[in-house]
Amino acid sequence: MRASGARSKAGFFVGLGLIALAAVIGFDMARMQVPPNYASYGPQIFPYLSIVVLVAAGLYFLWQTATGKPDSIRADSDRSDWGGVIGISVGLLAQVFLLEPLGFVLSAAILFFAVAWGFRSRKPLRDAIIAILLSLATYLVFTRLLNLQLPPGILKSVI
Amino acid sequence: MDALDNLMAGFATALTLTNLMWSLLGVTLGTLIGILPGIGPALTIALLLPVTAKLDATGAFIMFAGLYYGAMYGSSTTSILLNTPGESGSIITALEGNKMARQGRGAAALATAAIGSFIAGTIGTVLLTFLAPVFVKLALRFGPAEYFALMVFAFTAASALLGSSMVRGIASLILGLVIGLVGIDVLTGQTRLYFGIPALLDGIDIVVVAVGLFAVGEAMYIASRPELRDSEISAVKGSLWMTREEWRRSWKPWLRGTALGFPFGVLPAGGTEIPTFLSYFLEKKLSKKPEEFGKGAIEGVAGPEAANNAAVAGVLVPLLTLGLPTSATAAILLVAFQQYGLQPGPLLFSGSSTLVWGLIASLYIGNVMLLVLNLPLVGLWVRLLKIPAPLLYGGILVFSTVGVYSLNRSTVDLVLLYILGLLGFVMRRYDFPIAPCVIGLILGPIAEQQFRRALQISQGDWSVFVTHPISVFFLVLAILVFATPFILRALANRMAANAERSEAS
Repeated sequence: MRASGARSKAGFFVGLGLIALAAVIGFDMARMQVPPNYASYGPQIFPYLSIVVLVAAGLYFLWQTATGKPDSIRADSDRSDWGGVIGISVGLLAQVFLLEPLGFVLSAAILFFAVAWGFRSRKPLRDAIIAILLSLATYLVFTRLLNLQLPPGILKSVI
Repeated sequence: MDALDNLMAGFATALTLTNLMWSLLGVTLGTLIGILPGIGPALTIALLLPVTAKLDATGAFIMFAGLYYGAMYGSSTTSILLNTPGESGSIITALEGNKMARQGRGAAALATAAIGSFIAGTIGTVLLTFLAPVFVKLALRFGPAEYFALMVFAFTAASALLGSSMVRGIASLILGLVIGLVGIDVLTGQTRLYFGIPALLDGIDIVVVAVGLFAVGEAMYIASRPELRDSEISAVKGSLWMTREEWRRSWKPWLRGTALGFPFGVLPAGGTEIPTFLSYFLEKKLSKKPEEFGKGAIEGVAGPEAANNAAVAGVLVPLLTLGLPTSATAAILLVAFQQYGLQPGPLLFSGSSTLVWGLIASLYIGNVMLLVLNLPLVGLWVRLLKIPAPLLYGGILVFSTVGVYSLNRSTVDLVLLYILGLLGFVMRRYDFPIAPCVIGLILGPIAEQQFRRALQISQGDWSVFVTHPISVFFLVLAILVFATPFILRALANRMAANAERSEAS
């Protein structure tokens, strides 16, 4: 059965993910040096508490998923369209890497276009025009009216 | 009549031209974002924080409060006409409201929702006016141990009641708590979870987390679900003037919804969702025609809509008097107070009484504005629903990155935004509630401080939490919240067994 296979895989990743996060916190705590007079109420108590809860929750989800109990981890729908996640990812990564070199107007337009593509828009020309107009307008409002700085990039001499 | 004097002074503040303008801006923006799917009050206030940093605090809070109220009004319009709730508090409204719209009674559904929201919002604000001073007196007796116990209660209530299962709520809460640990520990100067990245030393900005979880995560989730992307809009049909029959069927549900909603908002018991569900089932139970439910019963719109607006007024009581947020939006509002160097709690009422009472008075005014904005002008708002989803979400993400980047002008924040967006997506996809995560993130560090301060005062003696009566009271409540679902399930099983037996005999 395909559906239950996908379900147990997701449960496996979520369960192990929570336990892995606990391990990261534990690793970070191990290198911390707490002054002895703070030992009973120092900065390590809440992290240790989080580790305990994360491991317990991780094991709980592994167990629930493996045995098909009601609290198992499964997507709430069988139909998934990964185009959206990819489109938004591409757009945000473009914003991370291109914002400062290219400037806000172009990188934000790329983000807008990528998100619209991810939502399966079938009108690329319309999207591109709106993308450029919206990011230009946003740039002008934020830098001229609200005095917040956004990188101008390669359009520095034009806008 | 201390509260009345203060309220009058508050009106003097709220009725100045500038503050009226902030209120109008807030309620208009609130209605707008309430109507638009994919963007809610918590996200909007988070995005506005960098922009409002330079504004006058009173004006900013009047705007934020108007926005919170307005979002509740606006979201009912989306629920009724589009069958996709604008906010989680309007899920129930969609059940009956959309059925009514499809039968050509959409206008009546919108009217009962708006008038019910107005009545509940106004009664809720009156209760807030008179309850707040009582809470302030109580809160003055709280020390660190009491505050910590109260937060433990808030944590358990949020994780037990906000999601589909308690363990999911707890996992979400702890994720928020862990994100809140990142950075320098205030009491000892130790660094936690910063992994040598200098940008993490100051901690992860709450705006980044809120925008990542709510905007990016939500956009990814909606994009991944083809059936959620395109919904059919019902036109506003019928008369906005409710008939005598509709008034007769609406007024009791409005009052009952208010009575359910307000206490749920005040108690740290999960914001607006639960009272709307309870109101719906109560109306169904009390109705003389329960068979109409599910086919467009007006009581099923009137009750829950009143409940969610009353709950919003209730949420403001613990937020303002104790500094205790009980919903995601309230948690972001707490951050907004901190941005202005204000700490909600009993001292806020003595130190910044102009701000607090101006804020409370502005809620009365905002409610009137909202009734006007949402009834006669509903036709204008409906046009917003026609914005195609690709353009809507493209715009939301562009504004999200502007808001996040302008915090520190650093692309590290954009990387964090993306990672948190993926986390939000996974949480939405596998049905983990987001609100406990936001509450854990914001209350976690405060709870930790109170916890350690209590132990510092008692010199490491842990019994301080069980020897103070108020502290014990909250801890017992917390245990009860944990145990109640199990008790209820056992009772339900027994009742089901009894019912089967009586049917068999």
